[in-house]
Order: sequence, then structure tokens, then C-alpha cells
Amino acid sequence: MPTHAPIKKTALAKTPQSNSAEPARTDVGNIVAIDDDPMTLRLLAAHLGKAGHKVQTAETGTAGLELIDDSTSVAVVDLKLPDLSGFQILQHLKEHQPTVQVIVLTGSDEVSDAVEAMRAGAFQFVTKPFDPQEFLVYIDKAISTREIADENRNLKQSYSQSVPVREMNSSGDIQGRLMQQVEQVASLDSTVFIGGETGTGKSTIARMIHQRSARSNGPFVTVNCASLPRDLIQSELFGHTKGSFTGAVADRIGHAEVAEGGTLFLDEIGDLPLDLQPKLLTFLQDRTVRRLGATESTTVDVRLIAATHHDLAELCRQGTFRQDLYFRLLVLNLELPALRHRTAELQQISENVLRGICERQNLLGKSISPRAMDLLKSHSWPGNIRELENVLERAVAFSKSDEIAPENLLFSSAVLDQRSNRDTEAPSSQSGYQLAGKTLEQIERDAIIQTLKMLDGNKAKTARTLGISEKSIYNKMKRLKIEL
Amino acid sequence: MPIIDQNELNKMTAGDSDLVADLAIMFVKQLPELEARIRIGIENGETAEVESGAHQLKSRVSYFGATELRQRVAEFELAAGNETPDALGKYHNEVFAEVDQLIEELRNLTQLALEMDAD
Repeated sequence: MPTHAPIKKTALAKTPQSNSAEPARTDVGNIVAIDDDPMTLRLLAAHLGKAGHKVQTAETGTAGLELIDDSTSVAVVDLKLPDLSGFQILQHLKEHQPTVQVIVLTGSDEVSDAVEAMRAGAFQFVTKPFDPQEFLVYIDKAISTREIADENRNLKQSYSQSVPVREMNSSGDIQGRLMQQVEQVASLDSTVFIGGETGTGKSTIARMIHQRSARSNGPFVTVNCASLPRDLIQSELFGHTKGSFTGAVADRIGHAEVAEGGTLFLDEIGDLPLDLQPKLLTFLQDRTVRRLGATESTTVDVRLIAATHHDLAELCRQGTFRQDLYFRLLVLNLELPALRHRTAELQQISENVLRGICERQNLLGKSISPRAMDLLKSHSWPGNIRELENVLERAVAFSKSDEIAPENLLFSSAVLDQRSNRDTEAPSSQSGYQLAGKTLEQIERDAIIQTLKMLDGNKAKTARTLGISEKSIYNKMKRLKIEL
Repeated sequence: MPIIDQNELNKMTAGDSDLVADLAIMFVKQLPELEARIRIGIENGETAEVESGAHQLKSRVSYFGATELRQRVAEFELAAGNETPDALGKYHNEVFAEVDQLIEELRNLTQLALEMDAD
């Protein structure tokens, strides 16, 4: 056997350059390579580093595991290591860092090793010598998978951190019947349609149905059909594959798949574009979704709850909502009454809402004076319970005693009317108010005078309406010589 | 017949001459220990050592595009658990004769970059 004397590098001879093109890549990642062969590590570090990845290497399993943390995208692991086996590392990562993707890189070409590795959750099994270009493609795919896993985990976490359900008191007649219906509907697994004006609590009822159902441990996923950009609704609902449209840089699952095992709540379904309604119909009929750009469908197990403030029957007559979808949705129907039709229960509802506000803000219990309650009962509540909550929350903020008085109540619709008047007419009730030619000081003076008159000289309300502090209104009145 | 398949080597190293030189240095540096481990394994009848050593050698030669040599080492690895010490000795001599040729080709390939250590 000849002896092999060490050689050392003194200068470089250039070898021919490879003509192979760099593979299309998605993103850079943090990669930990574990192999007891320094040559393998040197090769991996060279190729992965050149591709822009951050690479850390270790020659033992123990040292490699110490390098892996939450920021690690991919671990490249040899099966035969001096201290741990690759399978032990794989098992450890699946238990403690489940989103880290593991690529097994080994000299073993045993089929049984490959099968065991894949069963244990390896992303890919690669035998040495590896093709560097092919290996970079595996790395890119593993990074994409890691990113999707993170995205899905974050989505599910955000959905599971649901806001507490606003418990509704069930003692009133209408409310009692409604809660009874909620309990009955929750015990079934059929599609639910919730109708009612804006602010009647449709999304709260939907969440209550979910939380009282057998799916309560699954996610509750809300999609507002009115707020999603038209071009993205299909992708948001059903997902897309990489490259299916400009900007689809990676595969992404839709909300329908995120809701797997739970409830999908489609709010404002009356605003769903007509051309997307057949896709929703297919989903309702088959419970299958096909990602945009995909060739195969996936079956999902979700319960659908839909809601809208529109009159869907009227939309069908107008031809903007498909009748077949309408009938498919109206399996179990809950119609939430407007607050103006519940004056008999208004006191009880107001007191419940007030109690909830005080609890959230860690305040001692406040009450509503009889005169303030009369005022609440006389209001038409166009914004329904949402408006009532806002009015009482403002009242709690402005009242200085334990009792809410009439002057603490500022109705949202009144503010809206005032703003609307200011925007469309003038800062006063007189028509034909001309801004042009007036000094800013004159306009400011007129605005304060007219608002004071409109609010019966109440300076605190005037200040709030004009968006300034109470101290400022006194200062301005003094400076502008306003006396009422 | 050259041991190194130039196309395979380029594919493996993306034509990076620095990388080829580094790998050559590492290969030659680690080789005496690996050879000794296999040889002593054969002498002592420790087939697991022979198999494990051949397994490592197989990976390392493959990085230089030594496709035929890799195949020969793979046969050696497979034979480790089945053949007699004499037969394994024969495998050893044939494999390491080719390894010597590989090193010579590496020297020629990187002749401007590498020189023998004085000691």
C-alpha cells in the first residue's frame, strides 16, 4: 500500500465552468447540515452558500441539534453519525421543531432506509453522490413547505384566538327564542344562514353556534366577502398554486382548507360576485376545493355559516344572486331582529351591554338613569346593537358619576347627521353659508356658534362634536369673543 | 482510462476550482486513516469496520466524478460481510491502486494549485 502524502494548495488552476443554469429559486433559508464527512459538508456549504442560503455545519448529531432553532428552515441530515442516528435526529425534530423540514442525505441506498425516513416525516431522501442542482431544488421546495407550514400555523393560531363571545342574556322573549334557536342549530351540522340588518350581531351568533357545536375545538374562520378584493376572493377562499397568477410565488391554501374540522363563516355573502357563486355552490354540494391553478380537488370537512344584511330573495329577483345557491344556503335560517323592534327588552339589553363594557375596562358597575333610559328607548337605532355598544361605551368614557345621564349619550347617527350636514351644507343650519371670502377666524367663530346653538349651548358636547378638548372650547370662545 | 469523469466533476463542483482543490486536500489528508482502518479491519476480521470504511470511501471518491471507482468500492462494501479476508485483501489492493491513480489525476488536474508537502 502506498503512502499518501498530504498536499497543500498554493495557487489555483481554473477548471472548465459548468454550463448548467441556476435553478429557479423561491427564497433563501437558514440551513443546518449534519454529516460526519467534512467533504460532504464542504460541498453542501459551497453550493447552498452560493445560492444565497445561510448554512451552518456540524459533524455530530448533538452539535447539529444545538444549531437548530426556530429560525432553521431545513436540516440536512446524514443517517450514520458517530453519536446519533439520522432517524433519532429526525424523530427529535418532529417532536420539538416540527416545522423544520428534514432532508436525509446518505450514502445508503437501501430502500428500507428511504421508506423509514419518509414515514418518520423526512421531506426528502437523497443518496450520495447528490446532484447539486437537483439538491438545490429540493432545498427550495423544503423552504417553501416550511413557509407554508408557518403561515398555516399562524393563521390557525389567529383564528383560534377568537374574541370572547358576547354572551346574550336569554331572559327576554325575543332573545330567549333566539338563544334557543342557537342551541338547536349548534347541535346539528347543517349549513346555517343568518340574516339581519347591519349591527344586529350576526357574526357573534355565528361564533356562538361554532363554540356550542361539536366542531368547537376546530378553527372558526371568517371571510368577509365584501372586504376582499374581487380578484383575490377565489384565491383567498380556495387557495392557489405557485405561478397560477402574477404574484403567486408559492402554493397557498385557502380559508376553506384552513377551516378543516371547524367552521367557515362567510360574512356579507350577498356581496359575493356572481361569477364566483358557482364555485361556492360546488363547494357546498361536494365539500371539495380546487386551488387556483391546480388540477385536482381536495375534500374538506367544514361547516358553513353564511350571513348578509341584504335581502337575498330580492337579490335573486334582481339577478345578482343565484337562486340555486340561495336555496342551498337556506338550510337552517336565523333572522336577527332589529333593535328598534325590541324596545320591550331594550333596558335589559342596555344593562347587559353596560355591564360588559365596565368589566372589560375594569370599572365599577355603572347604571343608566331613568331619563337616559327613556332617551335610549326613544332612539331608532339604525346601527342596532353595535350602535348601542358604541353609545354606551362613549357614555362610560364621558360620565363622571356612577350613573349615566342623558347628556352622556351621544348617538352615532346624530354625529353622522352633524358631520353630513357639515360636509354637504355648511358649518351652520342656515343654507347658503359661503366660505369664500371669509377669514379662517370668522369660519371658526361661526362653526362654534352654530354648533353651540344646535346643542343647546352644551360646551362639552360642542367640543366633542368639533373634535377639540373642553378646555379649547373655552379658550376659543374667550379669544373669539363668543357669548351665549 | 481516466478515473475522473470531467463532466461529472464539473457537475458536482459547478466548475469551482477552489472547491475542487479544497476537496482534494481534504480527501488526501483523511485517506491514510481511512485506509488503515479498512486494512486493520480485514486483518482482524472486523467486517463492520471494513464495511463502514468502504462506505465512507465510496462517498468521497464519488465527489470527484470517479464513477467507476465508486462502483468498485460499493462492491467492496458489499463483499465486506460475505468474503474471506484473502478475498477482501484483494479488493483492498485493487481499490487503493485506483485511489492512487485518482490522487495522481487530482494532482495533474490541479498542478498549478497543489504541490506535495515537503515532509
